[in-house]
Amino acid sequence: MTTAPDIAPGDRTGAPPLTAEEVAAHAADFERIAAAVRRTVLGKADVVRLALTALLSDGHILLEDVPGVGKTTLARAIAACAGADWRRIQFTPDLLPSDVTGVTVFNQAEHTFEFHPGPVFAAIVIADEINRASPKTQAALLEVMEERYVTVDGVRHPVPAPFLVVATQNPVEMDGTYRLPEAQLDRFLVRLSLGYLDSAAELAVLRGDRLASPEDLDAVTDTAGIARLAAAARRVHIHDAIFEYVLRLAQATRDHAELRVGLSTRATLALTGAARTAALAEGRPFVVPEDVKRLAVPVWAHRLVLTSEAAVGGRDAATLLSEILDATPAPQPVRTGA
Amino acid sequence: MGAVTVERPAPAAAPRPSARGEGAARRPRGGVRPLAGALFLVAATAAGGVALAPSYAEPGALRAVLGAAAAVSVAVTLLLSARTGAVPALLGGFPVALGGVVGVALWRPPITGFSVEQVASALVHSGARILTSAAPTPVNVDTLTLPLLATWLAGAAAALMWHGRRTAVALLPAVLLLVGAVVLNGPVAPPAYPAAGLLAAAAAGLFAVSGTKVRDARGGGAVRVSLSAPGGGTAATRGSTLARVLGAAGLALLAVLLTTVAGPLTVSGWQARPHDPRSALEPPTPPAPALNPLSYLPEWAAEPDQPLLTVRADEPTRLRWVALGDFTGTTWLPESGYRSAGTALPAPVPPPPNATEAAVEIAVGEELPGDWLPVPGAPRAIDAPGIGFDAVSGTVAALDGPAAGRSYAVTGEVGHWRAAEMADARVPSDTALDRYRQLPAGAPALVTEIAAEIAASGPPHARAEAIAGYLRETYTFDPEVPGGHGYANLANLLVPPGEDGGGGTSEQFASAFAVLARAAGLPSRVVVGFGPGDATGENEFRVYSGDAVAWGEVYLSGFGWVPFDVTPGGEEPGGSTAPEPQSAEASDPAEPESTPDPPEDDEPATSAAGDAAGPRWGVLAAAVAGVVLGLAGLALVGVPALRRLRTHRRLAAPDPGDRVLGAWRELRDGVRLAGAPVPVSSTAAETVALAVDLLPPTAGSGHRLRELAHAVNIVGFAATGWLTADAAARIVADTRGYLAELRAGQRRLRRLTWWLDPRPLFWRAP
Repeated sequence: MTTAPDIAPGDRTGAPPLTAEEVAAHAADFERIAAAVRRTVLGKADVVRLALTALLSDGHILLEDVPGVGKTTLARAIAACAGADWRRIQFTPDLLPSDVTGVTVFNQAEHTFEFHPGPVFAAIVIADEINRASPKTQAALLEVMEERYVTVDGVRHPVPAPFLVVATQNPVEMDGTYRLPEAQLDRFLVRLSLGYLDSAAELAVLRGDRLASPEDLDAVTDTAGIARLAAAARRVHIHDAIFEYVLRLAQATRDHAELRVGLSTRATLALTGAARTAALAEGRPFVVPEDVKRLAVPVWAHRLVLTSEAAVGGRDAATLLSEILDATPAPQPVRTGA
Repeated sequence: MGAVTVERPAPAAAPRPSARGEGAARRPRGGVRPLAGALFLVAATAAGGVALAPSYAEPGALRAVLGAAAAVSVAVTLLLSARTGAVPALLGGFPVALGGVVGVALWRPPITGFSVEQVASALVHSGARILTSAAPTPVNVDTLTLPLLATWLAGAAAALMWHGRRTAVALLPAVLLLVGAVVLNGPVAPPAYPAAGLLAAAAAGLFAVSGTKVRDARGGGAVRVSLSAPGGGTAATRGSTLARVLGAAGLALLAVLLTTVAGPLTVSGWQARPHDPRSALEPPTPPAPALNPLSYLPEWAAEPDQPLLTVRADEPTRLRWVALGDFTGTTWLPESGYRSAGTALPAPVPPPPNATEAAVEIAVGEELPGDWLPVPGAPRAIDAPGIGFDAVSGTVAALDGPAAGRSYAVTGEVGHWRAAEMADARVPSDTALDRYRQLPAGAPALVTEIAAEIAASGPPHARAEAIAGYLRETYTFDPEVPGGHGYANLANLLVPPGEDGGGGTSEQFASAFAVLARAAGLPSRVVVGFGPGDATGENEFRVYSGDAVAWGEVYLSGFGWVPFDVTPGGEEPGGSTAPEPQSAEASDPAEPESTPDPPEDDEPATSAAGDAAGPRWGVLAAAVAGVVLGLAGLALVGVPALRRLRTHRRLAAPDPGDRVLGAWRELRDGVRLAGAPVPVSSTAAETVALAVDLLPPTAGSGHRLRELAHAVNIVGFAATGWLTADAAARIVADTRGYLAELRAGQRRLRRLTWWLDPRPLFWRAP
C-alpha cells in the first residue's frame, strides 16, 4: 500500500539523497530482520524494533528485566538473523578484565608474546548480569563499547564491525552487585525492558507453537547488509523544526527541578541518530515528531539522574520524561519549503 | 501508512528549496518592520482621538493626550506581550493608564479641585460628564478620562491582536473607537474625514507590513534556537521589499483619497443632521438656590443705589442675567439644567440677527445673589473656571459657588432685531416650544379678554408688539408697588384696554407680557437683566440695583428669542428691545387677518428647542436595541460567512501542500470546536487519533484521516516532497467528510451553532 515519498536534494552532509526505491528496499530489509527475530521473541514487536534500531544506529542495548523473560533469547536471535558471530559473557564477581578483553601470553615455541582475544571480539556480545562483576571489569567492557578498541599491554586491537553489546541487568537481586554508574549508563543507546508476555503469547510459548529457537534461525542478512542499512539511515533528513524540538526537550530536562543531571549532547545526538533509523525502518526518508516522542523514553530515561528528593518520593525518570513530553509543544507543520 | 503519492520534483527547479524560506522564517523578531507595524497601530488607534478633538474646547490638547495614550498603550502592550501572555499584558498595562488619568487630573483638575475621590469619580462618571457638558466639551479630567481609557483599551487590544498575527482584527478596536468618537461628536464637530483617512492609511500600512511580517519561530517553548540555513536571497528580498513599500504607499494614498475626497462627495447632497447624544441625557441639577431673580426686582426698585456690578466695556452694554421659562401661576421659574462648560460656549441656534460682538469684563459685587453670571447677549466665550451653561435659555451659572466676588471676561453676540425684518416671521409649531405656550389654570378672565382684543390677529411679531405697546402705554412705572408676579398680582394690575391702569415694576410688566403673549398663542418667557449702568470712568460702568430690569421675550422662527420692552416710563430698559414699535405696526395694517395666524411648521426643530424636550429614554432604548439587534444580525450572517470564507481559502489553496495544511487546520479547529482541545504536545498522528476518538467507532471516515497525518508530516518535515493534486484532493475530501460526521454527532445545540461560533476565527493557526 505504501508508496514511500521520495526525497529530494541532499541533506547537510552532502550525501546523495535517498530515493524512493532505496527507502522502500531498506524498509523491507529491516522488516525482514524484524520478522525473523519475532519468530523467537513472541509478542514483543516494539521491543524487537527498538533493539534493531539500536543495532543499526551503532548503539548498545541495556536490557533491564527480571530473569526468564527472554533477554538472552532476544540478543541471540538478533545475532543469528544478522549472520554475525556472537559471544556471551556471564558476569560474576570474580571475573577479571582480562577475561573480557583477552590476554597476551608468551609463546614458548616462537618466543613471542601473542594476543589471545577475549569474548569481546565478536559482532554481538551478550553481557549477562553485568552488574554482578566488579567495577573494574565493567569498566573494561564499557571502554570497548565506546572506543571500539581493546588496549592490552599498550597494543590497540580493534573489535569487528558492527559491534553490538547487549548487556542485561537484573533489577531485582541487588545483593552483592555493583550498580552501573550513571556516567556509564550513557554509553548505552537504549535501555529496554521486555516485561512479561501477554497471556496469548505466553500460551503460545508454552505450547511451543510457532516458536523457533535462535539456533534454528537462518541469517537474513550479513554484516555488510547491516552496515548498508546503517549508512542509509544516516542520510535520513531531519527538519530544523525537529532539531529544535529535540533541543527544547533536552533543555527542559536540564531545567527540571526534580532532575539532578539533565541530558547531555551525547544524549541528543543519540536520539536524532535513533530517530533517523526508526524513520527509515518505517519507509520514511524524513524524521517526524512521532519518532522523537516514541524514542525519547527508551533512549533518554536511563541517562537522567533524579534528585534524591524525587527518588525518595517514588518518581522515576520515565515518568518525568513523559511529563516533559506532554508539556513541550510539538513542532507543527509550517510551509517553508517549495 | 497512508497512501500518499508524491511526484518527483524537477531537481534543477529547486536546488535548495528551503534555504530562502527558512532563512526568512527564522529571522528573529526585531528591526524595522515590527516598529513600522507598531507605528501604524498607534496611528490607527489615534484616529479616534483625531475625530473626537473638534468637539472639545481645546482640540490640540485632546489630540496630544489621546495620541500619547495610543502610543504608550501600544508600546507597553507589545513589550509586555512579548514576555507574558495576553491577559497579563492587558492587565499589566492598566496601572500605566490609571497613572495617565492621575496625571491628567493633576494637569486639569475638576472644577472642585484635585483629590483622589475626584479621580475615582471621574473614572466612574466620565461618560455622563461628557454628555452633560455643554459643547464644545471643556478639557478636564472628567471629560478626558473616558476617551483616554477607551483609547488605551483600543490600543492594547489592537496590539494584542497584532501580536497574535491577526491584522484585520487588530484594526477592529480602532474602527470601533472612531465610530464611538463620531457618535459622541454628534452635530458638534465637522465630519471626521481626516480621521477616517488616517485610519485608512494606517490600515493599508498595517496590511502591507503584515504581508511581509516576520514569522515567529514555531513553538515558543523554553529554547529559542536559531538554526539559520545558509543561503542568500537577501537581494531578492530587498527588491521585493521595495516593491511592497511602494505598493503599500500607493494603497495608503488611494485609501486616504477615497475617504477624504470621495466620502464628502458621496454624502454632499444629503441633508441630514446627526443626532446629538447629549440630548438624551438630562444634566444634573445642582442644588438650586431657592432664589427667584424676579423677586429681587421690587426690593431693588425700592433701593436703587446698591452697587451690583463693575463692567469694563467699550460702550454701554445691556447684560442678561437669568431667563425664566416656566410659569406656575404664582411664579416664574428659572432654568436649572446647566452643563459644565469650558471657555468656549456653543453658538446660539438660530444666530441672533445683525449681531455685533460685545467683549466685556465684569466684576461681580458682594450684593448680587445667586449663582447666575450676567453676560452680554448670547455668550460665546468666558474665561471663568467651573461654569455651567444652559443652551436653552442662554444662562451662565457658576457651578462651584455663588457668583458674588467673581471677575471674568466674557464675549457675547448681541443681536439687533428690526421690526421690518420680522414682520413676516412665524412661530414654529414645534412641540418642543409647547412649554412656552402653557398657561396654568386659574388665569384671570381679563387676561384672555385683553389678549383677544389687542392681539387676536396679525403676524406674530405685530401681535407681540401690540401687547408690549398696550402695557407701556396703559400703565405707569411705580417702584412702590409690592413684589409678586402671579395671577393674583396680574389681576390687580390689569385693566381692560382703553382704561387707565395702575402702576407696577418691571417684574409685573414682564410677567404680564409673557402671560398675555401665551394667551395669544405666542411662545414667551421672562428675562431678568441689567441696564448698562453709570459711567464711572473711561470704558468703566457701575451697575446699581436700580438698573435691574425684567423684560419679555417671544420666540420667532429664524430670529430666536426676540426681546420686547414692556416697562413703561422712567426706566430705560432694553437696549436690544425692538425699536419703533409703531413703525412696525404701521407697515402691517394693510394686511388684516381675521383669525390668529396658525403656527406653521416651516422650520425644522432647532437644537435650542430640541434640548428642551427632556430626556428621550425611549429613543435611547430603541437605539440601543437597534444596535444590539443589528450586531446580532451581523454576527448571524457575518460569522458564518467569515468561517466559510476561511474554510474555502484553506481547502482551495492553489498549492497541494497548502491544501493539506489547510485541511489540517480545519481538522484541529473542528476537534477543538467539538470540545476536545488538541494539546500543544500533540503530533500529527496523536491529533488524528484524538480526532478519530471523537467519532463513534461505527463512523467510517475516521480511519481515512491517517493519510492526512502522513501528508501533513511530509509537508511539514520532509526535505522536499510534492504531494500530487490527486492526493491533496482526496485528503481534503476525507477531511470534509470527517468534519461533517463530527458535526452530525454533536448535541443539537452545538450542531446548530457550529458555524455561528466566532471563536475559531480567533484561534491561532498552529
